[in-house]
Amino acid sequence: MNNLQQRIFKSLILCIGFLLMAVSGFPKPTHLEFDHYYDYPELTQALKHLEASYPKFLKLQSIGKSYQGRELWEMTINNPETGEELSKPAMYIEANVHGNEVQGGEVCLYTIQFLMENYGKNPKITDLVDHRVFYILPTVNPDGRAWWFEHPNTMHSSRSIQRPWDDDNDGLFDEDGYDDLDGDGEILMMRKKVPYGNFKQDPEDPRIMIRVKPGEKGDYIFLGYEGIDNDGDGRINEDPPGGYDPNRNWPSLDWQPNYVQRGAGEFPLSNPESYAVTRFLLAHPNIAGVQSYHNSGGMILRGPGSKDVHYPGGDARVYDYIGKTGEQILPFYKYMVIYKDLYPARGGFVTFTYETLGIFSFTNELWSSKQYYDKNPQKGKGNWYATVSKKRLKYDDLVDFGENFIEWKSFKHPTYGNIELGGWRKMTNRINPPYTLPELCHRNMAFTLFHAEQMPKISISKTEVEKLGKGTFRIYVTVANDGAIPTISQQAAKNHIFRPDLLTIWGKNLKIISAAKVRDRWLNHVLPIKRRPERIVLGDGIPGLSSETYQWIVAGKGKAFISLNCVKGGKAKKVISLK
Amino acid sequence: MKIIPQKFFLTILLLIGFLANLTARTNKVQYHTNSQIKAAFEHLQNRYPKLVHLSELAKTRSGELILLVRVGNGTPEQLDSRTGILIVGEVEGDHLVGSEVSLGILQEYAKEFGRVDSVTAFLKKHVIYVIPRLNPEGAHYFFKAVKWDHPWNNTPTDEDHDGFTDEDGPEDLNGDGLITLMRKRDPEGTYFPDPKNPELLRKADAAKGETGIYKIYVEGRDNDGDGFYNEDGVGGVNIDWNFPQEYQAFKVGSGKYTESEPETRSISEFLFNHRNIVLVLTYSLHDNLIRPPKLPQRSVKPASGSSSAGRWRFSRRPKKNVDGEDIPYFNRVSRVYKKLMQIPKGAEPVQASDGGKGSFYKWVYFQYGVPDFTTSLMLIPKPSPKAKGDSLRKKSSFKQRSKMQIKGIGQKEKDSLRVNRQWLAYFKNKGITGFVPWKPFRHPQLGNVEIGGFAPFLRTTAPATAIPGLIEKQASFVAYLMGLLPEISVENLTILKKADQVYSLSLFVKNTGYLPTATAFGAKTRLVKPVLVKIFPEKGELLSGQKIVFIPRLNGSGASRKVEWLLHAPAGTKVTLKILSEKAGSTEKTIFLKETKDE
Repeated sequence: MNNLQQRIFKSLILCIGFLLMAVSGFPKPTHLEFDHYYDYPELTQALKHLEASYPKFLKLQSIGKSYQGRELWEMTINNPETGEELSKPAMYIEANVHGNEVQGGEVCLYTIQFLMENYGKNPKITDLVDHRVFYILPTVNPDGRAWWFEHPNTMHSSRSIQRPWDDDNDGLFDEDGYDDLDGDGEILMMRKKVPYGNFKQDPEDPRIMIRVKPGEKGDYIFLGYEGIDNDGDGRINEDPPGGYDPNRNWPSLDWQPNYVQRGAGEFPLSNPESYAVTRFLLAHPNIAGVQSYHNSGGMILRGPGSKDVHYPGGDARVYDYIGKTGEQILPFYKYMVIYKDLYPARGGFVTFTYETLGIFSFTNELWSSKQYYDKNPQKGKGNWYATVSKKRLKYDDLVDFGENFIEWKSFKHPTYGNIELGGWRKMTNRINPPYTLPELCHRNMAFTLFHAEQMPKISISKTEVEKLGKGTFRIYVTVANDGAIPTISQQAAKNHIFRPDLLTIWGKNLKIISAAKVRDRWLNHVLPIKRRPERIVLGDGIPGLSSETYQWIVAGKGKAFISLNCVKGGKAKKVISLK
Repeated sequence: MKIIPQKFFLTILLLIGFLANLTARTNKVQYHTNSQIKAAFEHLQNRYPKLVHLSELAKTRSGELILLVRVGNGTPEQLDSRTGILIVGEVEGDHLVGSEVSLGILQEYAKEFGRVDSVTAFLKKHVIYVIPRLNPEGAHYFFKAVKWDHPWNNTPTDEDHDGFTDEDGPEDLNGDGLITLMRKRDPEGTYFPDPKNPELLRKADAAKGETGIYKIYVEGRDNDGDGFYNEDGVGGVNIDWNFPQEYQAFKVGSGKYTESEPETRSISEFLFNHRNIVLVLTYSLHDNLIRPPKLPQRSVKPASGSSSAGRWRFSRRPKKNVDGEDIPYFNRVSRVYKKLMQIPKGAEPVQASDGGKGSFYKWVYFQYGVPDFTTSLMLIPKPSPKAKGDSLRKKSSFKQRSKMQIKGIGQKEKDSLRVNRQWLAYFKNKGITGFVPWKPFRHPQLGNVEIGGFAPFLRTTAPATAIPGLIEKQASFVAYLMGLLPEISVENLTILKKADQVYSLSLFVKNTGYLPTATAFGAKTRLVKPVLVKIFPEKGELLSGQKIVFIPRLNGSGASRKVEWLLHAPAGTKVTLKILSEKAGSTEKTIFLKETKDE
């Protein structure tokens, strides 16, 4: 073909393409299946598909780049017909801050799809999409996600972002990580048979290793995870990639450096990922709820993360209401306080968003291993580890057909000689079996949507006008919040974290004589507001499921425009006429 | 061992003599605006292109440049691979003297390079980083027609929490070019004139039968008509309250959260990217050079909660006190400083009253792991002899002081009143209008008020005439600091043949500098990397000893640590030894296995 022919051919193909698109109309919604886990490229694809399928509601953007240059995707769900994005309360949902805790990403995808597929069908979902905005970040540690999927790993490697860290203090970075010695794509455990060891095989199930009792002689030793001494320093796997804990890098009230809190990073928000997320949060003051997905253990967690911080009682009661309801939505999950019921963790994300930004925030630890077998595996007698392992293996044998445990096999190690490799694959224990994924996604989403529903729902619920004299009026205005969450958390009100709510009145021919808060209408307890009567400042906001009444004395005639403006509750307006 | 520091001292004395000669020729000095200080450094760079390298540390929110200067003989990349010191000036906007002094010091050293041996040697081997003006937004207010003490940057902030930012700042009502105070007689007033100095106001204590008669306001109008006066002016965040060491969240002026400001973040990032910085000298409204840190009087109560809470007991408590092992070093530097600066005994440095919470200099020691020496370059004037009988000045024993604290009747307030009296007396003696006398003024909103009070900047920033003297003395102090850096060397490298193909190898790692290779705190917290001794035999194997020997901290003044190995290798095998230190330089030795004489 010569040049001209090529050109004609190309334009022909383009024409056919356009014709096809015109015939088929808009691309059909793609239905995502939750029968497997999405690695980073597939996750990106899924998000793009969703955005293309629901262009009216969805907007996908990158809020920044990770250390290795991957995009931090953020999906906004907003119905533009019901108001501008920042004028509606928003729920912020993120997942996968720890690189290996991946399934929250699927919960995020599921949530986007569920909201879109049920909009206009289910009235509750329609209402949520119409009156709330959702900001959804399926992975805030894309490097960690990519690392976990693309490389042989254990179920625990690694929490970190992929920014090099000198774990062993030898001046070299990330120079000695795990190695997949037998090439099976998994990082297994190494054990070695020796004349005198501290472990032995469990007599009932030789796959399980148990520590010998005093007075007993063992014949095995554990040599840690699969690997060799890559840097020749006489130690094995002592400096794997990363070494930060991305969930300890946030400027919550208890942030402390590494010597107090391992993994904290050099200073708050020193990681590019946490810095990008914080800039996003600050640019969206309408965010009134935060949910972060982790794994595992079956927990609904809230702060404080350390004993140094105290949460105001009113806020704790709101937390308890949502958390306890969550226990009903999520069987096997327990509502817990991080420092008390789990372990102290400083500089965490949800403690930052609550303590520093004043937003009610939860962390869900997805998937409880109790869901494998029965509710209380600890009850068995004797060795706890062996009891749990036995049950876990039985489940693997009977339900998963032995898919997840790799039998011990011999291997010739360059340093240790004849050893055995075996153990769990990475896609297990912390990660639920794929056939349980849709339910896990759905129930956790249901909890988060319940939280989103509890965000402030404000209105000017009642206005009354009373004529006091010629051209003089008393106006009673009642503002209400139908959500369980106050428009301003006590934490935010106490520490002046964001702008107070404003109740204003304006009229062309009106003079505002005075303003007051009506504490008790029947007993006429009225507290005067000293300054700027036309602009009442609601420093404490409107508490959850309650109303407040204010009073204006005005002189004049005509229309009065009343407006309520809340940072995290949206806006409401009312016009009354004074005659 | 003891001789070494004295040697240093002699060099310094010689240096001072030389510097005194040089600075005698210094021209008239003035405070530089942001663009002027940039121009001054650019001029220096043009004059000494091989020594002075300018770059941008960051830009502030409003786009002001924060300047970073590298000084040393070599390219910027070469300089970054050497150990060195960092000088930081103007952390608070009303304390500009650090910018001028750091500029002056560099001008001196640039001239001396190639002439004064110690300076030449240092700049050939090490690096001096200078960030002359960390808070350029705050520095503006010094040069405006109306002077206003403005320590913070210009980040829009809603100080009075009413939904508006920066809507009600002060005004110069009486046209004297200064923002001072207004006092108004008011039945609800809480202040009354100090009986000794009626110009000064003190808070009335009803328990002592005192009645307040005045309300105090900052000079200006109520621009937004909310009944408060000048409660929400331009800005901002005090950069020296924004660092994460003992950060005070939600305090007005401390920022939305710690490290929220570009100024804070950029310098933190810079330090962690430049671990070759061995010590920092900060010019800010704090001091640990005249009053070095002390051990806490009572031992701090051990943490009760951390061990009982939670399953995993890894939580350690945040530290607030300088490590006891580091204190002698602060003391020694302080002694030298006071001598060089001719600080009289018992002198009191000008300091902010924030206790250094959230400050840069504390952050450097506690979260970056190196010593930070800091000074405001200002002394509170000595009380006049007449005032000696003043009960407020009486020296109290520790017991008495703690009693007063228990009683809780404003020790801080008493201190500030005493200091204000001293300033007042000083201004009077010197004939400086440091205190604007109260004069009646008809205020558009408040009615009859009086305007007066201390003039801005005079109590925080030294007069321009003092700058040449400060530069001269500070240049010698920095020269002293330059002589303190730790330095690693290898001594007594010994090989002994123990049997055929079996050799013992030993050496001493020695720190010939004065400072240890890490502060005790830096070593304990692992903020400073240990000294590493690595051995690489070309053939054979180690029979005993480690491939990497970690020395967390090696004292200076010639302290040594012996390292030994037993090697199995043929005679003549090449062995490479690498000694690496973050703060004390690195060295490499190559040897061949052959018996050496035992020295």
